[in-house]
This record gives sequence, structure tokens and C-alpha cells, in this order.
Amino acid sequence: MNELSLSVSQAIDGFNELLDQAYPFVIIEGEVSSFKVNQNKFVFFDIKDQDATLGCFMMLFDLKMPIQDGMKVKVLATPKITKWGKFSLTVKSIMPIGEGSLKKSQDLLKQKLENEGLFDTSRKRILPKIPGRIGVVSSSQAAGYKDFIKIVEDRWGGLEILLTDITVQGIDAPAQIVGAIKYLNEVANDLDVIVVIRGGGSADDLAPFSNEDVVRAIAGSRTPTLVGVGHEVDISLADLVADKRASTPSNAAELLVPEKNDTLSMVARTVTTAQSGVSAAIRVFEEDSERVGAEIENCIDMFFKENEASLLVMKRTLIQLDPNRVLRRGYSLITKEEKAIKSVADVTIGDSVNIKFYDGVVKAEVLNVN
Amino acid sequence: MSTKQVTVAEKLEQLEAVLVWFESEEITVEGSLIKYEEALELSKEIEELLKNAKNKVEIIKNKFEA
Repeated sequence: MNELSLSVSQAIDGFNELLDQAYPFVIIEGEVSSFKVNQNKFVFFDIKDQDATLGCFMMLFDLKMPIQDGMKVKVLATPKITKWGKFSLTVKSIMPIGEGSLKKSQDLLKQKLENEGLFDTSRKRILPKIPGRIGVVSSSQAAGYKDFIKIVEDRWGGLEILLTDITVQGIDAPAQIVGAIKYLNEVANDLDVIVVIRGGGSADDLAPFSNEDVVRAIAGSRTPTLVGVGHEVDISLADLVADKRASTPSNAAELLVPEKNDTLSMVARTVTTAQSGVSAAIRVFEEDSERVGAEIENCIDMFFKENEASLLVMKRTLIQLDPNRVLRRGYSLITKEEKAIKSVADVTIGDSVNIKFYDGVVKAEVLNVN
Repeated sequence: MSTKQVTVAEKLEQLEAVLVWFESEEITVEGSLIKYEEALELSKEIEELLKNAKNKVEIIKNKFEA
């Protein structure tokens, strides 16, 4: 037998190489115990079942959901022998599983994010009434996505939809959802809205939508977000942080675009309203014309009535002033060269004057002036 | 935003503005006839666009990573 002599370090390196080839990563389910965080940086815990226990290590920044002792979890990890000879799992991601563990973890995370104000209604933006370019985060194979597309097709046309085709459940889902949201915000810019959808499923299936990274990605999205995950009763943290929550993917389609036929009916109603507006304007114009016409007629009547009265007064005055009336009473009018003589100073002896009576004129000569 | 959708959205906004105009107090016969023509034209264009426009779906299969 050939003896291979190795140093301890070489032996550990060799074992780790073999482990790496055999198990580049493993997914293990179990219950958490002895969970602790050291120096606010390193996380240590054990994962166990009824018969066995494995030690786990991970960086705190990889921990995306609150974990406590007693929770059932699924870990994605790389097995490794440490330089102290201890077998350990280096965990890349951890996710609570089972309804009880998930609910507990989500409640803890919800409280934390709520305290940060991530769910505040003041943060919510209004989605455009009619979007043009829509980014969708979902799986092209998911029933929820198919429902969404069908309803959008039925309701509206002319949309540009960019689907980031990802996996929407499992341990890889959170990273892919976050990556897709980042892509839609940074690469496929100019979108009007990002829609995150997934159909119904178990609590484990929907867990990625309550992952801290996913929730923060939605909260940080530059483009307004609409989230429709699961059935009506399922409320994920992604739902709570979105600008708008839809109860299901189908409901997301309904909230996203108006119904074409409703819009066409509204358009028709507007034209009818415009028609009525024109008729009303014409009616008002006719009424105004009639009123103005009546006012003008009234004014003319008034004018004539007022003038008639004035004429009567004038007529009476003129009658009063008629010199013939005076002449008839025995007076006469003496003129010299067609000018009335009002004083003895106006004549001299020898002047020829006309004496006008009511029935004729007498020519006379001034014989004496006193 | 796509040109077609902007057009529909904008045309709907213009139509809404016509409606608001008709709800105002001071409307004239001349003005109402102009606005009515405008509403009629817009409604025809919107109907045309909505009946003929098709949705376009592009599937992106990148390896999305956080």
C-alpha cells in the first residue's frame, strides 16, 4: 500500500476539494437551534432533525428573514471542514418553511420594516391611468402570469410588455426577483409601471415575496410598482410595500389598464354631452336674442312715448306763443324794415312802418314821437 | 412610453378637457361648435386606435441576480 503523507492543512484542503466536487451546494431542511449573531456580523446556528445535528455558519448580510430557534428552515449551503477540523455548512441563504415558522419570521420582518416606515401610505405613488410600457416580474410558465396576460389582452391594446422570466418560488427566487426589478429599473428604463405577479401556492411557495431583499427592492423601485401575489387571502410583505396591491394576478391586470369597451362608452358619452352642450348654447342664444329683441322694442316704444309727451308740451308752448292769438285780442305788431319796434326810441318822425293786425297789415308814417 | 399609447392617453385627456369646457358656465354657440367638432374627431381617432392596437410581449431570459 502506497502511503500518502499529508499535513493536516493539506488533508483538510483535499477533503474540502472532494466535498466541493461532490456537493458544490446542498439544500438541507431542519429545525434551527442555538441561533446566535456574533460581532453583529457572523451568524452561527445548528440545524437538526430527530437524530442528527449540523453546525452552520453564515454572514449576517446573507440573512434575509428573521430566524429564531425552533423554526423549520431550508438552507442553501456549501459543506466544509474548517481549519479546526469541524464539519460545518457555510450557508448562502436560509428560508423558513412550514406555515408556523414562515408566519413567525414574516411577522418579525413586518414589524421591523413597519418601524422603518416602508409600508406608510405616504410613500405610495399613483399608477398612471393608462400605462404604455409595462415591466412584468414573473414566470412565463406560471398560471398567474397567463391569467394576467389574457385579461390585459381582453381589456386594452397597444401595450409594450417586457416580461423578466424568472423562477417565482424556491430558494433562488428572491435573488431573481430582486435582479429582475433592478434590471427593469436600470436597463429597461422608461417603463410606466413594474408588475410583480405570481399565482396561488403554499406558504412556502409564496415565501420569496416576503423576503427582506425583495421587499426592499420593491420599496426602492424608481418605477411605480403593482404587486399581485397568490389568492385574495394571501398578503405578502411585497403586497404591503407596493405602490398598489392587487389581490390576484387577474386583479393586477384589471387595476393596470381600463376596460376598452368602458373607455369607448365613455368616449361616446362625451360626444353626446358635447352635442347637448351645443344645443344648450343655441337655446341660450335664442333666449338671449328674444330677450334683447324685446328690450330693444321696449326702448323704442319708450323713446316714442317720451318724445310724444315732449312734442305735446312743445306744441302747447308754441300755441301759447303764437302772436296771432295776441293780435286777435286787439293788439298789433309794428315793424320797421322787418324788425319789430319795441320802443319809441326805435322810430323817428317820418319813418315808414307796417302795422300788423290779426287780419292784415296797414302801412303808416310816424308823425309824432313823445 | 410608446407613441401609440401616449396618443391614446393624450387624446383621452384632450377629450376630458372638452367635457370640462362644456361644464363651464360661459359657453358660446361658436365655441361649442368648435369643441363639438373636436370631440367628434377625437372620439373617432380613439375608437380607431383602441380597436386596432395590439399588445406586444417581449420575454427577457437573462440570468437575473441580485
